[in-house]
Amino acid sequence: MARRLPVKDTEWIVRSNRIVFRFESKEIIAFEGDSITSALIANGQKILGRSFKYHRPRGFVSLANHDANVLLQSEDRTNIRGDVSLANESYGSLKAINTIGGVRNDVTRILGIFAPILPVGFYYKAFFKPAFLWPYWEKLIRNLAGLGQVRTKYTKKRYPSKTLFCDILIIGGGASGTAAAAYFSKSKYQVIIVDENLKLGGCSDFELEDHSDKIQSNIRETTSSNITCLNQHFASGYYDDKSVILEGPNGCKLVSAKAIIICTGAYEQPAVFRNNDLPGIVLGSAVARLAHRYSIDPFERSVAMVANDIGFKRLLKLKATGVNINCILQLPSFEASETQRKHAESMGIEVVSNVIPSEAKGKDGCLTSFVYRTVNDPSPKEITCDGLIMSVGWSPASNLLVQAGGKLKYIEKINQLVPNELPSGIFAAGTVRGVYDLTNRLEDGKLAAAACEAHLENQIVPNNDQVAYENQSHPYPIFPHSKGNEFVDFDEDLKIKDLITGMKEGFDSIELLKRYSTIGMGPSQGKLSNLNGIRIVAEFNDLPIGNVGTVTPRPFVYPVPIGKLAGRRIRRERRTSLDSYHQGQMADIKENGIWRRPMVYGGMVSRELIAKEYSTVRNEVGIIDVSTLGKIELFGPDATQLLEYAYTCKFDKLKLQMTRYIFMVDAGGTLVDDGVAARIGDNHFYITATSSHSQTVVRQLELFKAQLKLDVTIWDHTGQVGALNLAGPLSKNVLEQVTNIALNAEEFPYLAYREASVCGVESRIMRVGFVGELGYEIHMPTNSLINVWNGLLEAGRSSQIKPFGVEAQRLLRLEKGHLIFGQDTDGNTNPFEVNLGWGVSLKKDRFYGRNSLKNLKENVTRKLVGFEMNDLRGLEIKENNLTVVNNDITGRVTSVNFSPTLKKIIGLAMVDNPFYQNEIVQIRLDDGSTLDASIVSSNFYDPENERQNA
Amino acid sequence: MKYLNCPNIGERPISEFIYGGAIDPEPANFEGSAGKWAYHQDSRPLTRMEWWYHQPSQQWFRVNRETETNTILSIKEQ
Repeated sequence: MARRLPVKDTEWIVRSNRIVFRFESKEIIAFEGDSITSALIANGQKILGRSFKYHRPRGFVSLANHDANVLLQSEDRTNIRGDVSLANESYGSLKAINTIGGVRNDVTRILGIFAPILPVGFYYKAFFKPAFLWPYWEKLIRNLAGLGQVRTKYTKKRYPSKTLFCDILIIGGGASGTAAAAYFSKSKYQVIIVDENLKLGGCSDFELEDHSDKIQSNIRETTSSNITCLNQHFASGYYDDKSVILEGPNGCKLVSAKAIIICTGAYEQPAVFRNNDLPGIVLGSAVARLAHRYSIDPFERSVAMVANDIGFKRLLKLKATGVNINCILQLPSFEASETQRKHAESMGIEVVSNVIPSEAKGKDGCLTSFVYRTVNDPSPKEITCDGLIMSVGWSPASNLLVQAGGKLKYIEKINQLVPNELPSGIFAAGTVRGVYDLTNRLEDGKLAAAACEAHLENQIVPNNDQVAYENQSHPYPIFPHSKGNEFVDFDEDLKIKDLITGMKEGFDSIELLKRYSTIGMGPSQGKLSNLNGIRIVAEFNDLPIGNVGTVTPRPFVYPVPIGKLAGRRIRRERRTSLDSYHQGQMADIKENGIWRRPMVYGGMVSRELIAKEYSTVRNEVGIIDVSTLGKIELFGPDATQLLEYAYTCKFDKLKLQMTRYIFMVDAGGTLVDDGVAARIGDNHFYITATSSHSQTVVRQLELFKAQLKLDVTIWDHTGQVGALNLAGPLSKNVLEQVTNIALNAEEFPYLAYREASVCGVESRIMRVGFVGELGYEIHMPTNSLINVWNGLLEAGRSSQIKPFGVEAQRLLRLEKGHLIFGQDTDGNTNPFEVNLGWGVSLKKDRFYGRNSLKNLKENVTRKLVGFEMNDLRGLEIKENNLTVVNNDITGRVTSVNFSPTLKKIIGLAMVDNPFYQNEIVQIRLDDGSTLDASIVSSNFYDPENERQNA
Repeated sequence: MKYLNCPNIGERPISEFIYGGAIDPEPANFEGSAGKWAYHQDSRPLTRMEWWYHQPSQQWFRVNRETETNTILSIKEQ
């Protein structure tokens, strides 16, 4: 039974503050500062989770964020990492993930019995055929394997994201990290030090020699200076130019640094032997964390398997702290010094040398004894214990280092990968470099800091290579057993045999084997399994470990919840100067790209409200805010040349004071934007662009100007100029009351451009026909828009003038068959498909996209057609419903609506060749039924254009 | 974060810039099919001149960039 050790100053728990939560209906009493795992252990819980595939009982292993078998589920959240999540009453009731009937009596544990017939690649092989049965197997397998269940009724929480800037980012607050930070405590540099733990210091307090004075003074210097300390933050990924993502309890921070010192330390590695996954078999560093931070002795009688000096010394410190350690078994590669051995024996620890592990034995899912033999004596010896502490070696936590572009090299002498080449501005110190001795680590941190300072001062950067690295790792802590069950990867339940099978089937490089066997692909991303996997591959292929290579450590280093990546919901929005007017008129305002636009006035969008606004425009006069249009003025000697290059049509026929419809394609001939161009002078134009594309159009025009070295000024007026469209048969009567120019058709014909005063404001007026009625688009400075708008409403009172919204405009334009770019066109539509071939002048020598359009003209594979039907079931047709012929897809509906004038359903559909030549198009509704519509000209309303030209 | 040193207003974060493709071959001078131009551009690591647009100041720049290490060697106005 686990117990709490006597109170000591350095422990992280606050015993006066008790925290109570439940774990699978058992009450757990924790102290403030406990992690969930430490609280469960202190309450005597040994089995903390079930394994991924075979549902074997598992306990804690590292307590350092790699315990992929201790994932928990609360009412609200899933996959909570017990080893690093603080115990908290708000969790309420926790349970282990992926069990049926609780962690102790999980009914699916029976799967373990079938383990011999579930080899690696089993699912690929066994369920591959027949294909129609796969959905059945998939459902079954997904129920049994896998991680936690996502709660769909979770409490929504937004996490703010922050961007921080600093000169130096120090990752890791252990001995070397705090030494580096202390070096900068009085410097002019802005420094951030980040550490995943509650407190700085790392695992320096696990050491036998007492260096606490030096380390505590480093920590004091760090915290009392201007250095920003971010505890409980995980450096989870390295991005371009020294940007590092930190995941903290309240969201993510993106740190942008000028130099980075990486002191991430090393992951202690498990040994691989039969039943090495039994609860009670743990890493030395895990017991040290439990004993020193949470003051827990997890075992009654424990045995340690040791292959390094650090591990041995840490055990002595643990024993002195009060942890029950009865026996130390030294693997053949390691022999403690005589003094240390005597020290151990004086504390009542039996020390055995030259031990070869055989197997662990368990009862009721927990460790009961360990069997070994020695090099000299092959007879098995069994030793009773409820804890087995492994200290066999380390693997550097070099993930960020490699992401930053660092190269690693395997040093045979120390059985470890160490950084070989580091990019400029990236420094490493401490155990990640293979430096284990605490005095050396302190020195290494200081040297790395000095190197970093030299780098920032543009001086010659010294290196810290002179600090010696040491061998603290067993070369091959893998001990196969004839009966198997030696687990290499605890996350994914992989044994030695699985890897050997994979390699025998030909997947014998580590990158291939990883994907075939899924080694290192579990929640801990191979932090406890990759190195042993590489060793097995090297052994199998008879290669030196350095030649096997490593797997690529991509972001994220630790799991990051998606909610934290999403951050807060921030959206830019633009408002026209009439926005408050729209709100006052109870308009239904929606986001339209980045603009807020009124869909309809007087309430939420409904067919009735749209129809009312529609009929105002068709019968009297309506007014709409079109300030969202892109508005660009071009002038200079080469203005015409620029437009000739950017747009497909010819501008030489465009007369002064006239406008024309223009559109732009990309290099591949795809339509990207349309608008209207007005010629003000020979080389002076005023053009409009679609609401969502104005910035893109300006950028494109600027690029052409730069590429062709043209002398032209491009002036984006979009934000400065407001615009409205006055449309309807009575629009002339309204406008003539407030303007100073003649509006009759002779003096101001269709498509003409005029500059005039409207309600006393100097304006630009274009006669356009987007909605198919007599209409005027009036542009004026945006701060005068409201005056002109109100003036026109006043002047139009007797004509029953009404404002109309975007929905009515869409219906009005659909009746004319006019396109909306992005709705009736997609990312692959060319002009010939949407009947805009008349606007492409291939006679021009050159314009952007000409070569592509030349080819496309010959091969039109689909066409936008109009369709209509009298059957009112057509009201169910939605945009993007498919058009079909004999159940084969032939296209899709792009726009559809009910025309109040024609009393029919009308719409546009993009239909493949040759089906657009048919008389009928069959449209498939959401419910799977189909409706027939007749294909007609898309100019549904006023095909002779008499009304707009009037 | 990555910075580009704008010749007009100094160092600005890369998020204010928009990439505009390699300068050579310029589509203006390119004869051939769109497919060839758009999809068969050389993507091997190299040092090349590129277009970069500074959105807030509405200005295109010629940038000499080493693509393998993503290092900007020089930036100049058109």
